[in-house]
Amino acid sequence: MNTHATSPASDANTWLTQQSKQARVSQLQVFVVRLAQLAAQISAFWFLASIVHRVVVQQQAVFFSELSPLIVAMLCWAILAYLQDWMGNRMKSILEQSLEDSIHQRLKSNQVALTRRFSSTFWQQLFLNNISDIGDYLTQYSVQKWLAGIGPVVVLLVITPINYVVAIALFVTMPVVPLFMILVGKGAASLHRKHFVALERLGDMFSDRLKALSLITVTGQHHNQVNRLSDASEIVNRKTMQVVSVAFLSTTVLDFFATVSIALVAVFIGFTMLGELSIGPQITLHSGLFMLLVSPLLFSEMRTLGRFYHQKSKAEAAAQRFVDVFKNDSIQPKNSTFNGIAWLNFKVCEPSIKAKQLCINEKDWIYLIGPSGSGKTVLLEALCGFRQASHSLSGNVALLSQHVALLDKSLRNNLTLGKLNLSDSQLIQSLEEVGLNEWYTHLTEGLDAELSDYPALSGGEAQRLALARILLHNKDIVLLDEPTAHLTEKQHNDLSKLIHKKLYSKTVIWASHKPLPSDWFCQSWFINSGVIEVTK
Amino acid sequence: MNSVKRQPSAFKLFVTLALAIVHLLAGFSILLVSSWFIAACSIAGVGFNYMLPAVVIRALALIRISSGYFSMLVGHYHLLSNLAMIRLNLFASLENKVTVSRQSSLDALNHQSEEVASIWISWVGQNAGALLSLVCLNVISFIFIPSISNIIVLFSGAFVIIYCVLLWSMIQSSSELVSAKEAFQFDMVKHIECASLWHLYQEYDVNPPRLRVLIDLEKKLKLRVRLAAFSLFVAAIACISVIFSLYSAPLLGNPIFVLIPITLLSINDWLSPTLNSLNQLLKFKEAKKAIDSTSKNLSVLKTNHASILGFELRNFRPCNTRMNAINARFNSSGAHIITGGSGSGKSRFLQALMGLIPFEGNRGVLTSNTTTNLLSTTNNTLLTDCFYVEQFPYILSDTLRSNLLIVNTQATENQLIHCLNLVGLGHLRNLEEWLGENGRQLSGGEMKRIGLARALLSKSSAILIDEPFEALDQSNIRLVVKLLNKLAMEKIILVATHIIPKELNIGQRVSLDDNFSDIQSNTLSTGVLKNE
Repeated sequence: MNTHATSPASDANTWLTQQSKQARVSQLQVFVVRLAQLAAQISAFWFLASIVHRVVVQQQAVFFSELSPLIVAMLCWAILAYLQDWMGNRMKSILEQSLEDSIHQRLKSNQVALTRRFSSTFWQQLFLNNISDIGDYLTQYSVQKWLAGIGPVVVLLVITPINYVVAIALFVTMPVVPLFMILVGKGAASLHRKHFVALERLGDMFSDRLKALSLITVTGQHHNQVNRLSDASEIVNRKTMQVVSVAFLSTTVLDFFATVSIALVAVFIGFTMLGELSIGPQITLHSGLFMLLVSPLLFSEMRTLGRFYHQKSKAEAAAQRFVDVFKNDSIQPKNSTFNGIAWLNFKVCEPSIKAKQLCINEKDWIYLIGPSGSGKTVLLEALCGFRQASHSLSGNVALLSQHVALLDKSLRNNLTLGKLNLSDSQLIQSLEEVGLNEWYTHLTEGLDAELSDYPALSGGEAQRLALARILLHNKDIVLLDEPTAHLTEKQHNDLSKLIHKKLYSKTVIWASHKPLPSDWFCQSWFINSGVIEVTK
Repeated sequence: MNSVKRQPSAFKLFVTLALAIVHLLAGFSILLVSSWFIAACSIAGVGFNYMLPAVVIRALALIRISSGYFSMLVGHYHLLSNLAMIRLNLFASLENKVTVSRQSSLDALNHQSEEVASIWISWVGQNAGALLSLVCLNVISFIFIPSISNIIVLFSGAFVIIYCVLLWSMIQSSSELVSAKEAFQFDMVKHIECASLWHLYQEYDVNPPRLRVLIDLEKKLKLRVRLAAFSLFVAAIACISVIFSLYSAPLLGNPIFVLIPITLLSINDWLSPTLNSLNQLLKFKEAKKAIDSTSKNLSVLKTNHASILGFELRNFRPCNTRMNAINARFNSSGAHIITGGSGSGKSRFLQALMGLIPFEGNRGVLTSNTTTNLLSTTNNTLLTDCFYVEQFPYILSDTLRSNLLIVNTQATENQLIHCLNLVGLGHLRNLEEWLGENGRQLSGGEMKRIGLARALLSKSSAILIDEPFEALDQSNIRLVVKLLNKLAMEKIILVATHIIPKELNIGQRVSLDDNFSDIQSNTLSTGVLKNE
């Protein structure tokens, strides 16, 4: 286990950089195609300027054969534009699939120990938004960053041999642009910091009040809350406008230089051709028009980068979530049969739980107790092998938890999980054993009844179904994580006795808050402040 | 119903669109005027007035820069006020419409309202600008270079066809994409919910939900946009070739003709983005549909303001449950207990009694004075003299004060502080402290007690409390029991719980559990192990 000396934000950045490195080869491929596209574009401008020169200045008609270089350059441009888009998208979907695979890999290794750490909304967003946020960042933003750097160099290299005066003029504006953008960016950031708390709090009031709709209805406060929302959005909008009025200056700086440089280049070229100005080499319509067409390219890649800028912050937020999910090391599953264990110095890594010695014999019944929050669930997860720990139970373990998971599928599927090949009578018998026969007779489709078509099972019934499922799967070791927590005392008594009767011949570790007869158990484990005490 | 539906401001919209279009046109024309200027200079004879075009170029540059900044500013302002308006209208339309939608669909509304609000900037402004540019191009070519105007018309026609075909084909698949997304969301929620089953498979669910279908659909849509952009580009290339090879003879020495090939060559800057913006239009369409259906699909609850002295239930039970129909009478004589294990429908019972969800049978309300004054209330009628404390009391993202005042706007400062002390939340001293997602996070037990403080402050005659003892330790349970016993002397108290504390002064007791007949129930008395 590595110690986290670095801040979480830098963890996310490290992860993102690492992803970037892995994608480097495909990023370079896209970049090369983009450069080739730029070259095709510049040569198309060159040939176009030459033909316009021929028509307007030399006043000679153009023949199709003379057009061919222009047509070839334009077609190359079009095809390369298509190609880079296609390559970018292909790269994105490959990246996204590998990210998706790695999440599933992690789910497979840590299972409930991982899923219960986050809400179901988190998982949905992780798959539906965060994966593609990372994909966009790696395929678009990263490549565009290089282009924004190399684009101006290419343009200046092309213009310099034609007219060094224009090149120098454009070159001078170059450092000014980032300088202004940084200044403006700082101003906007400090304004944003100033209003941060208000923007955060009032900004999500709408979704907050939607979630509170039931409370608001019950208290009859709808009108008051509409006014509250209206006031809040007015404040948020006013403050946001203050921030963006500065933030937009940054885009305007780019726009300013891009526009002014075209205007000045145009006027300079025109005046030079008229003979009003005589600085630098002679300019023809060919070279002049070419320079006019090429000079906007100086800033265009940078402007595209500005358009992609939000991808960066989105990717950083997404990276943070991936780091959270991937934080714990993955665990390799082991498989063998169980016939008793004796562990010395047992240890769970995070949160820390230790025991000097743990012995479990075949068919032992172990009572696991401890105050809430002491780590009973964590211990059971570690024993299952879902958490990093010095030891885990080999062999076939089944875990029964507080909340029963039911698939949106048929009853048969819920029992066999589509895995066991059992006859109908075996399945019905298992339902009888757990006392669900009466419930079963109400299902008109029998074993093929879709559970979602019927009223929900009560907590006690669902636990019985889960018990039947575990009995059918014939696991040697059963870990019980407070299966009766949400049941009434009577249900707790009934279900506990049933569990005792059915799992008598298995190895059982039972975590419970509620009292259970001590003569059922051969030993009890008491967890408190990270230490397991064993009493026999 | 005196809330006025907020209307969009037409003036703001007009300014927004006008500035966006001016910005686009200025940028476009600066390149064209410049190229014409250069071409004109190259063949200029004596007396060519070069100052005027030079001034026009500089003026256009200034117009472009300033219109750029202000169109962003005004556009953003319009976007924000439009967004606020959409959200407020949506929220206002949900009055007395309680929904049990998943949290994800509520989160989606946040995002969907943004998509609806941004349509003017992301699609309308851009498309109007491009369309106007295309019209200008046709007019210019018709006036100044009539010999090639037919080619420009042909090109415009090609654009319209490409645009329409793309739009048509994308509309076909957009709903497919939305439903694929919903299906994935649903499968993923289910998949994660069933995480505790994975270990019973070999190692992991054999068939976890995959993004494959979604990614393929998105790929298909992108391919179409890409193909459309490519075809448009090829059309432009064809037009340029035709103009030069067939029409160059009559245009010799005509500087204004420069405009046409340059415009066609830069379509990637002004015309192709409209193809991409169709995505925005489709998102708008789906988001609008979702928002409209949100309030439309919910029925409005009626309200009944009668003051409540008691409940008289005959064969009462919430719809869609298997619980036994309940016959009971509840009045202010001790806390009434609704008991049952998880899934037995305790919460639904209280919600149905309050009128939040439909019920079967008869819900009678004893109103003022005599007991014979029995008011039979219909379904979908909310009892306003009744307060329901949720199992997980919702903490508003707002100040502690607002979180308490929501039940009783007239409560005084002293009352609030007194109530907080009573429920053992005296340590939350600052009433202005911000709670909720971006403020102080309360523990589960603290939330429960905020719910209880609300119950104490409420002026309602009937208080329905869902699982008040869960997540509390013994001393807090005793505290809550004491308060409930006191409260039950003046009000009708119904408590749904699976834990029944000894000290609780119980009135009626209703069990919602089904009985299992197959197992004999006698208590586990032999040598009980105590924990804690």
